[in-house]
Amino acid sequence: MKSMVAITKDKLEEYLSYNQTCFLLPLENYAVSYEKTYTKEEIKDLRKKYPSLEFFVVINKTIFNEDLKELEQILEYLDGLSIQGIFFYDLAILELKQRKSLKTPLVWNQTHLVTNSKTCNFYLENGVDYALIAGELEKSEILSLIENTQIKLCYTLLSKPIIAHSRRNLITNYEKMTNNTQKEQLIIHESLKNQDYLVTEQKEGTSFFYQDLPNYYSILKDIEVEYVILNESYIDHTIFMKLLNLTNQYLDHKISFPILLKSVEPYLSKDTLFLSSKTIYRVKKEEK
Amino acid sequence: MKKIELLAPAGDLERLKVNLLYGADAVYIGGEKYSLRANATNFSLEQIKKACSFAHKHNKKVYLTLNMVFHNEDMDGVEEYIDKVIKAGIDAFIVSDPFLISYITKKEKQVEVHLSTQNSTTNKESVNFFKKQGVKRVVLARELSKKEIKEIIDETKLDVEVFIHGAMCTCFSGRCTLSNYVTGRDANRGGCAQVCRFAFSKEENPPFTFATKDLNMAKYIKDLIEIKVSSLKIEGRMRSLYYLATVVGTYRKIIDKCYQNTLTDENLKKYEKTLNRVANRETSTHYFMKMADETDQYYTGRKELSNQDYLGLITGYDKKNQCLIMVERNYFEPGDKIEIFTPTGKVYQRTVDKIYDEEMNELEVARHPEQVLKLKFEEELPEYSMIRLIEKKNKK
Repeated sequence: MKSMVAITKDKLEEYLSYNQTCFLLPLENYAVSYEKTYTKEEIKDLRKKYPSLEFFVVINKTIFNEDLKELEQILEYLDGLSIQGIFFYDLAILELKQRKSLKTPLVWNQTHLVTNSKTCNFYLENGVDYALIAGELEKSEILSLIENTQIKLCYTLLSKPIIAHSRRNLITNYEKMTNNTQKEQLIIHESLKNQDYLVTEQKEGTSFFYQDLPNYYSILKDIEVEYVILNESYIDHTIFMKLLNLTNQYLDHKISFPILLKSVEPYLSKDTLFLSSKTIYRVKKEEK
Repeated sequence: MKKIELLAPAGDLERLKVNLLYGADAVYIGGEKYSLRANATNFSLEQIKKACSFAHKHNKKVYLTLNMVFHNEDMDGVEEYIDKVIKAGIDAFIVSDPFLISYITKKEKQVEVHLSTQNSTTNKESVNFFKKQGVKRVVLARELSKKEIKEIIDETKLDVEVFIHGAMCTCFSGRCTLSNYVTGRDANRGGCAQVCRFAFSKEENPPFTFATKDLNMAKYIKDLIEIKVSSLKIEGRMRSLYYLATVVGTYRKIIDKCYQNTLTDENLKKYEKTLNRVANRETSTHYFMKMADETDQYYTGRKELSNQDYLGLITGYDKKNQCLIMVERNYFEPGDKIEIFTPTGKVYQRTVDKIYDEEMNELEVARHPEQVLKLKFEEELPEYSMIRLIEKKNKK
């Protein structure tokens, strides 16, 4: 099991000093809900400069017809870079891979939809190599999914969880309604759960994030996946680097699991979200 | 040329009958499991059989939603369930999960698979992917423009279904778990708590929501026919009989007039007014002609109007006294102008003269919802005829 990081700083050297060898690079204009993105030329430069590192690219925006021509060119361009894989959301990418016989491995990354092993196996049979497990699963569901699929899996260990994504420019619209100055981010509060949420806007739409850092580390010793993902987007850099360092030390067998758990605890919320609590969807009549 | 389909939502057998009698060509229903309306009444296998039997007798179709996002535990028994539903006579499944799509398409050629809008399909290449999987129809994402819809139809030649009326999501379908994180209820398994309509706050600003206005595409039905959309879908499996009868009946008239080339600006305005009166929110056409913007949302000052127009459901005819028998829903009184509308499309406008109870005692007003009442009327009307208020007697 290795760590894969989506970073926010320009220089990779700082991350390399923490033994980081695998990076997630969100593609400019084609990745949503990440703080930092890269042009395809920047990705090419990184590949050339660091031939021994692993690079995965994220293309997770919802694709529209007008994007398709350029998307096809980008996929062909990336196919020549020998990157380790493309995290994809839209099925247009799988269709284009099949039609163009592209060789770059694909990672099924339909954020909230990667929830069962039979569908993972369907994608495996259709030319997808990896899947990123949805963040809304309870621990036993994650273990069951892992046990019953042959696809290689990734699991998001550290992030501000992405909750929702809209094509609408929700912050722009809100600021217009309230005659406020345009912003790219809002922190909003919801009183039922007494919880803050981060809302960000880019030209591809609006994303909602859980504002706290849930603690998923307890599952680490029970799961066997190819990659655990640490996404620095909208997280304090110093805290992120401490957590990355601890994670890599554990994965490199330099610290024990109890030490890892104790060490990460001060930086994370007590909330484990769905890891310890299944979502419900049938509401009893009297609860309606 | 194949006529465009009008597809309506049915939460139970009675709603299904109302939809089909008022002019829907097909209905979509949820089973007791696996749909995205886990808390609607939904249909048992026996009820699905009855639904299919009723629909097929009227030369109409029934589609079953199987569009939740499955967790491993949900997969237990789903294949057997699909087999049973096929035997019950269903015409198509509305599915989002590609594993289930392949299961159904490999197994059964007589039953169609329609790709659910839960997949947020927005481009022709992803439509091509599902076409290869055996999908016969794609329910497109609600975020598309007329141009984008037309391109997909022209270039994939696959049947396309679009939403024309009802509630809209703020976010892409399948890309929203606000409900999961705020309430613990799983949006993608039918438990959506509509958190986008909850109040949020930001610093000292007044509370606001991210809610959207409803969709109303009445004025673009002609465009949708012209670009060769196959099916027009109305949202709302949990809506009332009156809402369904009004919305389905109105769109039936609009569609028929489009084909007859008799839809005038004047009668379109009348139909839009009817649709707006039955809605409890303002409406817009969202992405169809422009990028959705601040005018398509409620941030503050949201208006949820309680509709009092529905006066009652006609349940029979008292031949001896020449009276319609009705079950009251809302207050009315002598002097009110009313409209009696029927599944056949025939409409009667009247001013209420006298109101009687079940024993033909005259009442001053009708003030008790669920009370059985009688109104003088010259002829018997078909089952599921209804009465709506047009104008209160004292309105100036």
